[in-house]
Amino acid sequence: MSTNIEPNFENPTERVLYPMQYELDKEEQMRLRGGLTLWLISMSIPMVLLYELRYVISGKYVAPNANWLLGLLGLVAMVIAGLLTSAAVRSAKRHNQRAILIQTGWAFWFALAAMVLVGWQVCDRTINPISHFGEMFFVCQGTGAFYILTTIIAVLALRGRVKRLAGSIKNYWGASATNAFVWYVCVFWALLYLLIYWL
Amino acid sequence: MSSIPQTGVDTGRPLTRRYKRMAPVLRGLLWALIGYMVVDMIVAFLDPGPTHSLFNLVSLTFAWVGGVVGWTLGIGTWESVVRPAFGYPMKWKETVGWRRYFEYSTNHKVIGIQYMVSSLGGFIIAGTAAMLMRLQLMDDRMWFFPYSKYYLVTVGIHGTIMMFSVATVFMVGGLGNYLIPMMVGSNTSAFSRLSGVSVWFVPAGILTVAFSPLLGAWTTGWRGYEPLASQDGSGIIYYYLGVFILLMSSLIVAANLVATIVFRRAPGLTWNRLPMYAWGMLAVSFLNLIWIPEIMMTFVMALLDKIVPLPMFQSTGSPLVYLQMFWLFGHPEVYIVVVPALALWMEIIPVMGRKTLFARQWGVIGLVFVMLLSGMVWAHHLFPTQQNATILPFSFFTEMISIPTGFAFMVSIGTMWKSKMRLNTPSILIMMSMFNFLIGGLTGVFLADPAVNMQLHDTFFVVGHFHYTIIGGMVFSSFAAMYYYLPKFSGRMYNEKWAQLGVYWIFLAFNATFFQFFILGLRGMNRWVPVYPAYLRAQNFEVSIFAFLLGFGFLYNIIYIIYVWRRGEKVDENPWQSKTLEWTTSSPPADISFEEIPTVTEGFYDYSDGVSTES
Amino acid sequence: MKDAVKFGVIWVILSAILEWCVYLVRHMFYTTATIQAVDGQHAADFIFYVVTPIFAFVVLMLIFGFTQFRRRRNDKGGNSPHQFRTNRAFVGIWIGVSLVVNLFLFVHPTASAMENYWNQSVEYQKSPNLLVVDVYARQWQWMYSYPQYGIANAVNSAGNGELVLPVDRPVQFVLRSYDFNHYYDVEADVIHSFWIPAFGWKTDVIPGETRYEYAYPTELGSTAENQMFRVQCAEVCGPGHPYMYTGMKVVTASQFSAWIQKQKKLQSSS
Repeated sequence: MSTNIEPNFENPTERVLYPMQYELDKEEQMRLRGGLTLWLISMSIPMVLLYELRYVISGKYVAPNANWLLGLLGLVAMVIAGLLTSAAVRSAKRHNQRAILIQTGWAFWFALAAMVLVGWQVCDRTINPISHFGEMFFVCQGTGAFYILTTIIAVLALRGRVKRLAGSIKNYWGASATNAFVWYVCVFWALLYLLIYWL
Repeated sequence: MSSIPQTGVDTGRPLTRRYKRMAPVLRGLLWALIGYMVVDMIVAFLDPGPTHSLFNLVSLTFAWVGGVVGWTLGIGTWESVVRPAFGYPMKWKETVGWRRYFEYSTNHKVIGIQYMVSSLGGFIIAGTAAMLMRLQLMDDRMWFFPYSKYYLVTVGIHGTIMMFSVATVFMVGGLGNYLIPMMVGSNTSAFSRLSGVSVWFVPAGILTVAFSPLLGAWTTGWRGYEPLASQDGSGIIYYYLGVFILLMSSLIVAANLVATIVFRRAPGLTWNRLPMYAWGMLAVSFLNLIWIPEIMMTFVMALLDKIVPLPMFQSTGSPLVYLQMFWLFGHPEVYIVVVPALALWMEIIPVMGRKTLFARQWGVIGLVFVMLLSGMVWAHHLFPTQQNATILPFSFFTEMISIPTGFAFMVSIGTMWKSKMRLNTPSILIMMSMFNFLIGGLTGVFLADPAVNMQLHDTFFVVGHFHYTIIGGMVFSSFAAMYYYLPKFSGRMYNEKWAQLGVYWIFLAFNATFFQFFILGLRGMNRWVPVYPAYLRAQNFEVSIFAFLLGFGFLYNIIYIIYVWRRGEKVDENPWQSKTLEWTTSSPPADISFEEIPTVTEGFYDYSDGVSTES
Repeated sequence: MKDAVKFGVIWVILSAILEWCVYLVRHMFYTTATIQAVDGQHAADFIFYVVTPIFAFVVLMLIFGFTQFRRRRNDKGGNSPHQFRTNRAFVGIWIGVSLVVNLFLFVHPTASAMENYWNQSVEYQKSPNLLVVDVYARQWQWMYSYPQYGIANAVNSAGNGELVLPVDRPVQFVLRSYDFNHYYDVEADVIHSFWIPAFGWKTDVIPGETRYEYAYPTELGSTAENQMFRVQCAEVCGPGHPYMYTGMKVVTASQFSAWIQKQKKLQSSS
């Protein structure tokens, strides 16, 4: 096991850049927040495309015929995951690491459930891909599932760091970034849900 | 300033301890192979294909994901990014010496050089493809390639690798990563770890595209038009995936550069003082952030269209939707390529002319408006495709976009006026670039006119036009940048005579080759044909000769630059007496560029010191 | 000021010389066998005349950079003695001129040529003399049928598809990607582009859509004499794309009716 847990500022060869292991000043915080915002804005452009997709391609109204309940359950699971990561951010403010672990643990399970519920209908072959609804359904549902998968990785990474770095954590930017991302995906999926199941 | 320790290590200091592991590139390849095979087996087992038990389109797609993940982890991100992200102790250190260029690094200068070298590799592969194409075109029948599909896949590889790994990458990922943090007076880029990962996507993407014909020759060219793509050779899926990962890399570069310019500027470096190249990078990066996700999503859709398959882009869906979505990105892409070149003109001319930059604010306005307008002109690529009634608005914006582009000319020309131009290799290259891009731009006026476009579309006239803008604009400017920054990168200076030989060589060969493309197109030579009417044979033969000369000319310049980099004459730290911040560091820069973060008190392009100013 | 006057004089002379060169080479389209091709040619000529002085201006500036404003051999450094941040008159004129030129070019020839083309097609549609040619594009062949004459698939003596048009008569091309000889096949249709180089335009054939294009041939010609008279697929459509062309002819009215009779005989015999 490496001994380099504490970053050594004096000697750059000994420096290691752990996420969350250094104090963030205001400028740093701005940079991280700004970068994340840019990234999320950039990543919402596929959403615009998907929203147009269905009617642009078919040129007319296409009635949805997917199981709205499964989709709704997925959405609810995702929102619960979001509430849990928000709770984790609040726990982080109180430096309550045990609570963060529990909350992110549950958030992981709910996000996983959401992904399974969203992905289920892609795999169960109830919807014919060779149809105007089917073609768009697969693309949107798949994109939604992929975005949820990235939140799962983010939640797991956060949890891993909180668990293993414990005492040496100096900032909780990781927690707020994960939370922001989870809520972003919630909104993303909610919009997709409306598109796929109701519009 | 920030409390984070600056990236990088002191080169003078030998590393006290190395973690034992395989050479990162070898390990990357090995892990890629393992990832590829394992994922392929799993998916082929879960979703067996009808024709082959081990490989099918779905399994090959996921296998590619496994391969790229394996490659990226193997190159060093496993120890340095992934494990620490999950809280495991980091068993990794920044290497020193030449090895650092062959593994994951967080130093923006190392990353910049990695980008440049990968991009150069792409340039050589795609350039060779171009030479093969010209070889085939020396005769009007099939003689070099056995079947026309091999010619067409060569066209596709040439276009794809040139666009996505050279044109989009060299000046942004390469020069941008290297120079921008130094230009804004910072020792690191904003997201240095992310950037260290993204650079390794470039070789992965180039190799994916270059080897795609193994799966089956695809014939669509670099645009992957539907519905042809969905019934084309299976290699097309590696075209989508290769481009996807190359674009992913450019997207990360864009986010990193914007954040660096916005959040990492040295004190006193206001927007009014920001260097022109940084403005160019900012404009380009915003274009990237907007349009790259769009085309990535489009390519995912096209990929699904092929492997599921879905009917989206066939006649029962809408083939035109793919075309529109492709060019919706495709035209901004052109400006992603050219804006860095325009910015570089305005960067180098005041330095070489020893004269204050003319009308700086209009140069910036030009770059920004090009960025904004570029999203409104896409359909001029589709004049013969769309209905005639929908053409005019796009024609209007296409003609209007020449106005902000013209501002770059105005600023450059105004700066040149009454300057004391040092006629050395970089400034000559910049003027050549302006000349070529001028021809590229003015022939664009012809193409923007629908009545003329209907004849010239899909002919060699268009091929000549965009090679004038891209080679003439971007490649010539890149060479200018390489000669200009050689003393910075290496601390060594080229020999004016040998460099100018190479420069005039490529200029003459380039114009002799591509000017004839206009004439060929007007005489009725259309694109994507290895076989053409006999009356065009003589001219094609002669064009090919010039094209080979051009190819060797590029090779000469590349070899000469590499030679100077290693063996050239040593030179002062700031041989051009430039005022921008990157030249205030030592040449070549130490790992930590600025021992002390500089404070900026005035703009960088004012050369009126010691001169009585006239209005 | 001296430089500016010198520049101005040389610019005017250079532009005049270049305009004269443009006048000499202006027939860019090589073969213009329809009214539409002539219109396109005129538009191209007009643009050529307009952009030539602009080209001369920038190139002359570059030449000045190389000659007038270069650092002399004995000049050992120092900044240029002429320093200015901007020049309102120059910037104003530049922006003004580029706006005016671009707007002007949009009005003429861009919009005017499109309007012209539009009017022509409306006029041809009304004409009782209109010849309708159904064009089918599929991988990788062109097929032509003449519904007004009951000719389903026009072929030449070798049995290859051939397009024959009478001179001085408006033609409507109806472009589709499916035809009567085959079952409708989703897999076989891709985008093609119907291009006759001598006619000055091309139009893509989109699967699932029907496109119309109009021409008024004014010159006689055939593929055998002039390869600009050929039907060529201009949009890449797969490995067979380079081979997707057919011969064509523009013939006199009497030759055309003779050809029609021959085709009818061929059709009834098969």
